[in-house]
Parts: sequence; C-alpha cells; structure tokens
Amino acid sequence: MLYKLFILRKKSGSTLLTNKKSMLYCGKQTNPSGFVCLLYFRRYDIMGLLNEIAEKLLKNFLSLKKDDWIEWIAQPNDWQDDCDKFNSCYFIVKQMPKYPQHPRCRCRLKKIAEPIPNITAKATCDIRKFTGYIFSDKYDDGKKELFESWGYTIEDSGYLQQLYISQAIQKYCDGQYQYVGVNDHSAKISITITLTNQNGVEQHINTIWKLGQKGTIDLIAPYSGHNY
Amino acid sequence: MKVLEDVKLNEELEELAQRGIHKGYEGTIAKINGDIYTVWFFNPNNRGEFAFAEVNKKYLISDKIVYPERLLLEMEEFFANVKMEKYTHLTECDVKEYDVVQLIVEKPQYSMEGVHKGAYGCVQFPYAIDGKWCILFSNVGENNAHDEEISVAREDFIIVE
Repeated sequence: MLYKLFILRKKSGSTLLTNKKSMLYCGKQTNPSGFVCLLYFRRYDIMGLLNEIAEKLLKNFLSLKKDDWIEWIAQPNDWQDDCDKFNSCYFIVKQMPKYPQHPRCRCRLKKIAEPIPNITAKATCDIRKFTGYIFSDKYDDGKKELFESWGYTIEDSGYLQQLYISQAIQKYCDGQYQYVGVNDHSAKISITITLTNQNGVEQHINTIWKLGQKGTIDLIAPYSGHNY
Repeated sequence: MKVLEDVKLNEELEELAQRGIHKGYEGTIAKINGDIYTVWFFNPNNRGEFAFAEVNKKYLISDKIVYPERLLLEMEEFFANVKMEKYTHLTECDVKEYDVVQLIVEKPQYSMEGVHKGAYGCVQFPYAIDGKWCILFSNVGENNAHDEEISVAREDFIIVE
C-alpha cells in the first residue's frame, strides 16, 4: 500500500477536505502550535492497479469491430482456465470466446490482418477421418450408408479430404465459422461443408475443427449433423 | 548432461518397462549422483502423467532442447518440493486412435452433452490428457442426429473394436 501524509493548517469554519470520498481517515491530532495534523491515507491497493490494467485491455477490446480479426495472446499462468487453449489462435471478433474469460484474465487481443488461405492460415484433415471412420465397417452409425447414398465411397476419401480442406480454409478465412467451445485439447469451431450428391442436390453438413496456433485448423468431426 | 536437461531413454530396460517407462520416452534430469541420473519421465500417451526413475546415464541421450528461463525456475522449484518416491509408475495405455469405444456409465458431465450410457464413439487423438480421452460419439444429442466430441475418463468406457 502507498500512503500519503498530509499536514494542513486548519482554518476555522472551513472544510479541509474537498474530496472526502477518495480519502480514508485514519486519525487526527493537534500539536501545540495549533496545526491540526490530519493524518489521512489515500490508499492505492494492488487490486486497484490491476483493475487499471484490465480496464485498458477492455478498452482495446471495445475499440474492435465485429469483422476485425485478432490473435489471442494468453497470459502464462498456473490457473485451471481455458485461456492457454486460445494462445496464438486467430479469431474473427464476432465469433470468438468470451473476453475477458474470468475476472483476473490478463490475456491480450492483438489486432491482425484477415488471414489468407494457405498463406497465413492452413487447414489439415487426416484421411483416416474417411477411410477409418466415415467409411469404416467398425461403426454402425449410418454414416457410411449416408455418404454412399450421396454417391461417395471409400475410394473418394482423397477427394473428400481435399474438398473439406479447401472449403474449410476459405470459410474460416472469410469468418464463416462458429466458435463452439473447448475440449481438453483445444478450442473448437464449426464449419458448414457443402457436398453435392449424385443427383446434383447440395448437402450442407456440419463439421467440427480444432483451432490451432497461427491460423491452423484441423478436422475433428467430418459429420456432425445436417444444416438444412 | 546436466540437471534440467531434456533426455530420451535410448534402450528398453526391463526394470523400467515394468513401471511403464519404455524406450523413446522423454524426460528431464532431476538429480545426478555419479553415473546414476534421476529422470522425470513423461507419459507420451497420457499427457500430464509423470514418474521419477533412476537410470544409468549410458541409457540416456540428450534431446538438446533449450527451455525458457521461466520454465527452468519452475522445474527447480518443483523438484525441490515434490515427493519423488510417490511417482514411480506410468500408466500403460491400451487405447489407440480410431478405436471404437462404448460409454459404460451415466454421468452428468456426459449426459449434459447428450451422451448417455451405451453410446458408441471413436477415439480422436492418439493420447489422453490427465487420463481423459477425446472421443467422438455418433448419433447423440437432440433427436440422436448429431456427433458430440467430449473428453471421457478411461474408466468410463470400454474398447469394443
């Protein structure tokens, strides 16, 4: 705590303190020469200083527009919070995690230029999401039959992998994604992928992607429901 | 090699293998006593889990990783306070990426995501974090029409295939 000591000459009938709300009286004593020593303390506590920092961070945040892009800079700490999962992730302001995440959050948001597909942003997709999951006989969840009804088979896995990557990276960079939360590993976003079935009808499906550092997204769920 | 240096076990030792520490596992040197190094090993299949073991230096190779100063200070403080004799084993993980699993419990943290006992899912990552595996469950949620990806403790599911 920082304390300021004021010694004032008392004037009869006058109010010595004009801003009583900011002062905390601790005591008063009178010395033989007639001065009234008012000992009062202006208290600057550590929380106040931290609140100033938080206010500054919040002001920076409030100056952002919803279509601006930011890089989340997490504050290193030992707390059990989700902030570490957002470190160095790129978000469009209208689809980003709550900021600040918690009262003591000191994470920063750094304004960046819109990411460019395959230059400052990249999508990856493990082909086993199709060969080992969608088209696998191990799972009896109807996905294999669904994709086959649209005219896709396991031989199309490579094509689907590239289709997912190219559509997802473009939509991510255009801000056409939805932030859906976190798991124990990372932040997650949802992107709608459009597949055309054998009759030429478009199928809009939900997919879930892991949001990595510096503009990388990695496919988690290749089918998470339909977007009708 | 010196204390706080990153190392790798370059041979399969029976005594360590029985404790779940295998060739290729990485760790950090916590103490040096002549040729015997006390190493803080990490479980690559279950991130967050660690164990201490004494190893002859001839079975270790340096990874030449340079840690930031802040991390070195944290590790020094950790080694000074941790009870190394408590952490002697690593879990042998039997789960692999793309394994088919079934949830065998009904717990609020799963049911609030729409995933109930009996649901089938697919393991999404080749490793767990603090004993929890990331699993994508099919046909769950509203109208059983969605996939949900949640973290599940190892004891809460069985491997089907």
